[in-house]
Amino acid sequence: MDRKVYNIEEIEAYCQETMSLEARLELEQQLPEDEVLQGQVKAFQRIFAGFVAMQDIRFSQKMETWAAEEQETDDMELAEWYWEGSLGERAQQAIKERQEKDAAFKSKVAEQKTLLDGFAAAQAEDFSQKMRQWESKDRAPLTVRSRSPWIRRLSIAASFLVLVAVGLTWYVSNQYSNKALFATFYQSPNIGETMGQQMNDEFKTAFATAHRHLQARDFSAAVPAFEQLDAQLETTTLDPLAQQYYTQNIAWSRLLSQLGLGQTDDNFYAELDRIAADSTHEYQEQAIGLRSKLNSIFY
Amino acid sequence: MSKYQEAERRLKELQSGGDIAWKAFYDDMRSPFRLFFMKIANLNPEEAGELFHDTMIVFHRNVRNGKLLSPLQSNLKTYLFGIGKNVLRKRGRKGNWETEIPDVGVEAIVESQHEREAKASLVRRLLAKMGDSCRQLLELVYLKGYVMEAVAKELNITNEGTVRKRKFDCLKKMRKLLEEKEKV
Repeated sequence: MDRKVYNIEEIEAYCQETMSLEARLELEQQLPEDEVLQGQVKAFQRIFAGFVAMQDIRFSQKMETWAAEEQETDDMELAEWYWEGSLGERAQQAIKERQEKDAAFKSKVAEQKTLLDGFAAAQAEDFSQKMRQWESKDRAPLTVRSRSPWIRRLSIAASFLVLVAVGLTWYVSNQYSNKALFATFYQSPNIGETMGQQMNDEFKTAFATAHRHLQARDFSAAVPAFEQLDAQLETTTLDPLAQQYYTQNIAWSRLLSQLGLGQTDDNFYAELDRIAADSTHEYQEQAIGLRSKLNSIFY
Repeated sequence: MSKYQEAERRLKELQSGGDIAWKAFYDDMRSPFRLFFMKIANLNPEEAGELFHDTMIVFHRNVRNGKLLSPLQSNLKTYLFGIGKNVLRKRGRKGNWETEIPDVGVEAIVESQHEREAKASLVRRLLAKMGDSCRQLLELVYLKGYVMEAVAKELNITNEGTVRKRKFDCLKKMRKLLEEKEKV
């Protein structure tokens, strides 16, 4: 039988599996009888396998670098899946065991739970406010027949259950927003005649307006409104207790407005530290809590 | 027209070999892959991470060596998960979870790190004994995946035919070095 002499290009095509089926079969038919061809094929198979292995190693090393960069994110993600119950049994167990050996990881997992709970509550608050707005818009005329109070309570309870179910999904897509942190630490003030006997009407109106901006999450209007109130306070006559209340509320509300706008510069943190350090400040506890959240690795 | 246009576009980017495209693919696939195999195949986090790593090596090899070509029969995520399934099967991990992933008909050959290093080491030693011009040319073709035209441009060689001829001359030299090494 006439043996074909294969060149390197053909042997490469055979080794790289780019040869046509017909040509491949022909070569393989000759291979067992042709020691020279066997030697060539074997040698080039080793060379090409070596090049493939080098490519694999280079890519593997790149992936190791990427994985090391993602370690922090991976741990946070694992903690989230753990609390969501998304993992299989072995993974859940591995995370429990790792928490026993790794205090830093345990702390991350606990922090994640706090955030999850906090954001679920923040969404509940948001939705609750929306419902209040709907109710005030859709207030029925007096001629509408009255409903049993239980139907209303049940429907609010059902809405709340839906809200809780949706809450976690919302959290996943809105994890670390300033707006969510604002919602956690904002409380509507008591705007009325109970605080201070000598309240200036203009000041009172401006104070209520500034807080309405905050409640509507209109932070770009809220910041200048509170700054103006701060300036106005110096010329407003109030009893000492009311003076202290409004000074502290305005300072805290302005800080939260800046947070909502994302204006967390050095001045923001200086003011936050000042309130957190002031044991006489009405909002000291909230300031300490907010600072802790902002210093967390999740922010 | 292909059913998987976005996947086809992405495959082209990956075939061009840039790190940015590969890192983006890695980032996109890492989380869903790990979660899927931890949840459905009941792997622990470390096993899921290792499986992802090995699966990506096979995927990378298939893209770079032209085994995954247009037109695609599935999107890239399905293909990647299919490789993962095959790698896990080869390791003896089987179960009902296999039905969750379509078969993609990919031979998931994952050698051990030791085997891979041995093969690579042989070629590195041979390359070290070759002249700069051969080493450069072979690295461009077989490690960086350059086509002949790109190699010609990179090495300031006038035409592709010359590059092709030099490539085979260099491979011949490499083979001779291997034979000499075997005789020792």
